[in-house]
Amino acid sequence: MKALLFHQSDCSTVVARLGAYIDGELAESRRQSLEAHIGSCQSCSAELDQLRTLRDHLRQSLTVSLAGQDVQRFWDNVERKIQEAKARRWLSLDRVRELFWFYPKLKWASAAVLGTTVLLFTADLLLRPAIPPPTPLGPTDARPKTVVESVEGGPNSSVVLFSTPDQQLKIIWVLEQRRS
Amino acid sequence: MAIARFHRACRVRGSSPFAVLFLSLVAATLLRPSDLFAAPTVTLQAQVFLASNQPGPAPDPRLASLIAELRKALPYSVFQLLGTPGGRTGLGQPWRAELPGGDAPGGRTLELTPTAIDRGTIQLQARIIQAKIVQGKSVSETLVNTTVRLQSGGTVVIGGPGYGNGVLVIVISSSVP
Repeated sequence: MKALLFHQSDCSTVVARLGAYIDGELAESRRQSLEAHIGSCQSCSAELDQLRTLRDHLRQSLTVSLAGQDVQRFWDNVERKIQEAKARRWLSLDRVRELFWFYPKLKWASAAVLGTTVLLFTADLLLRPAIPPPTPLGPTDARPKTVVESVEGGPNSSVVLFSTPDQQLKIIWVLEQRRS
Repeated sequence: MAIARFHRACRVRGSSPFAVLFLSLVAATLLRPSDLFAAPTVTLQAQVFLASNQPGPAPDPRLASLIAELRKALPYSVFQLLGTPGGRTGLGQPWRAELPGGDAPGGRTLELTPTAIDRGTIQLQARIIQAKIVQGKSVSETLVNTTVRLQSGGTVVIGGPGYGNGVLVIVISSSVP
């Protein structure tokens, strides 16, 4: 099942490149990869034949008498549409699949990046400085709701600490020095 | 010719996938997973009152019990709520709120820094810093510096700095999620 999936995935990429192949515009390495696939894949081979036949028919029957500027405008539009479509599918699955098909080493590089990332995360988690334990604050039961541990005034102020009669509120009172 | 042009337009332009990989590697290196594990945050709240014996607006009924407590301890009859600044901060990170008063730009600032959390109890450093003019220059001085332990939801009161016809009374509370 897995092999079949890979096979289908390769076929879709190959079919997308058949036109360039027919026109002789594939790079040597790509052309060899594609020919190797076609040699072993009846489906793609048939697709190639159909495309060649279609191209021949088109060449014979398409005798469009358009003015030069119309033809130019037509192709400009075609190219613009294609560029827009390419921009949309830049991060699509097909694009990724295509990259892996033409750059087999990319699989290993991706695995290496993934592995490095996991390693970095793990190392960071293991090696980051431990958070110091919170200061022990004494047993919960004996602890009043609010405890003033220290209090000090500034250079021109002093402080008084007191509580409400029922000990509910701790009050720190600041006595500012009067300025002369 | 036409088909060739069509396919040329379809051609994926030669941006190297290895550049993308390199950038991914750099991003993975720069990303610090420890950032995902931030220190616990503390919610801080201050109620700033102007305490005086001048007639003032009727207090908010929701504050009645607190004001009654303050009246028991302080020689003021009127507690007018001036503001309720609040916020969240992490351990060791100061949180600041402006207070009314002070005679220089910058006025007064309340600075609260949670320093430890233990089973719902928060250790908190509280400071009031005041700007003043000395020899024509604005300098900051500490009015009070205290360290308190508050059970989550507990309060401490700092009062005394003069303001208007009375003094400021600041009720500080903190809680942890």
